[in-house]
Amino acid sequence: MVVDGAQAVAHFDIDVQALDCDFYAFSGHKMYGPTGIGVLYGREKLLEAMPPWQSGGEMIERVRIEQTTYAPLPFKFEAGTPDISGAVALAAAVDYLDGLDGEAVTNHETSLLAYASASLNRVEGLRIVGTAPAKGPVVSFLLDGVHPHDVGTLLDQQGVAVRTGHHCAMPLMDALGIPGTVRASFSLYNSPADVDKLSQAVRTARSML
Amino acid sequence: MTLATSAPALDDIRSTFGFFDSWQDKYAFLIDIGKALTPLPEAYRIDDNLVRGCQSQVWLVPRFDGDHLGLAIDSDAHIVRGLIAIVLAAYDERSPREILDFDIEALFDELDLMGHLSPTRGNGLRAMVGRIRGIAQEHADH
Repeated sequence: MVVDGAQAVAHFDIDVQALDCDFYAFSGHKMYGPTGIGVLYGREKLLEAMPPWQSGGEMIERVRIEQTTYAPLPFKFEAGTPDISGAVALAAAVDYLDGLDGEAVTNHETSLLAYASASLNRVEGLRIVGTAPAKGPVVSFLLDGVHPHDVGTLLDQQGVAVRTGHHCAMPLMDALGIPGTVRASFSLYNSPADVDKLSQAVRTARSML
Repeated sequence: MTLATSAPALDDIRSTFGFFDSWQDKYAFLIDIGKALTPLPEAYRIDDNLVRGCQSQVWLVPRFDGDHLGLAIDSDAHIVRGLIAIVLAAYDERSPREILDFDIEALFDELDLMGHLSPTRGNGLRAMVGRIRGIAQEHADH
């Protein structure tokens, strides 16, 4: 079992043993680290059994004409010159998150989510898409009769950063019969004042559209 | 049936844009001129008429009146409809040669559009322009 944990690592304490997954992947830029680098956790016996996927420096142990042996984990999978500065910066991001009280972070984000959901639900003509009780700190929404890109543009102009579009889930958007959504995501650095600014900006966008 | 458009004149767009200081006002104007466009009938909102490269859906239906290219364009997004109004003001009911000779990038620069559109929207606008210039090129060669 492979888990894509890119959206989870910055918001929840993750225990790969408790999850009992074979692989767990996440990216640096979703946890306040640099872009272009990520982490793949793998069960040791599976990684041992897997052949290298790329050859190059540092991943070999001994090269002979007759036979080549590979370096131990994790070097077997890290051919060539690595992204050294990216790895150092990602480690700093991991240390930063590790130094925080994970439960407090989750509680903070959960309370922002509840406040934002209540606040946005009071905007006339606004519909929240996705209301699972245990969802992460994100609110996807639509304004009646308005394309999500239009809302995104007007929020951007007001200094509010959201993601708009299909969120890499085109079949889901097709199934829901919508072109996409506007999605506000909350994180440990957001405050209730940010939620107020979002709600106000959505109201302004609605009045313009 | 006749597919009419109702874009304002290019000079009106230029002077109104120049009049507004804030981008909020400019967006409100774009939304207004977009809403004033004649909607493309549902029968023309088909995949064959979609402009590839636009993030929102944009349908484009060309027709020739004599040697003039008439354009009916529509979108499912209001701000994109406003951009369409600008494109129509520049290109609609012009000859292929006039279209090819018109420096639309200079117009976008003058309106400072590209600096205020997201890169994907800017690319979509250029895709629309590319499609129209492609049609004009085909007919200019004949």
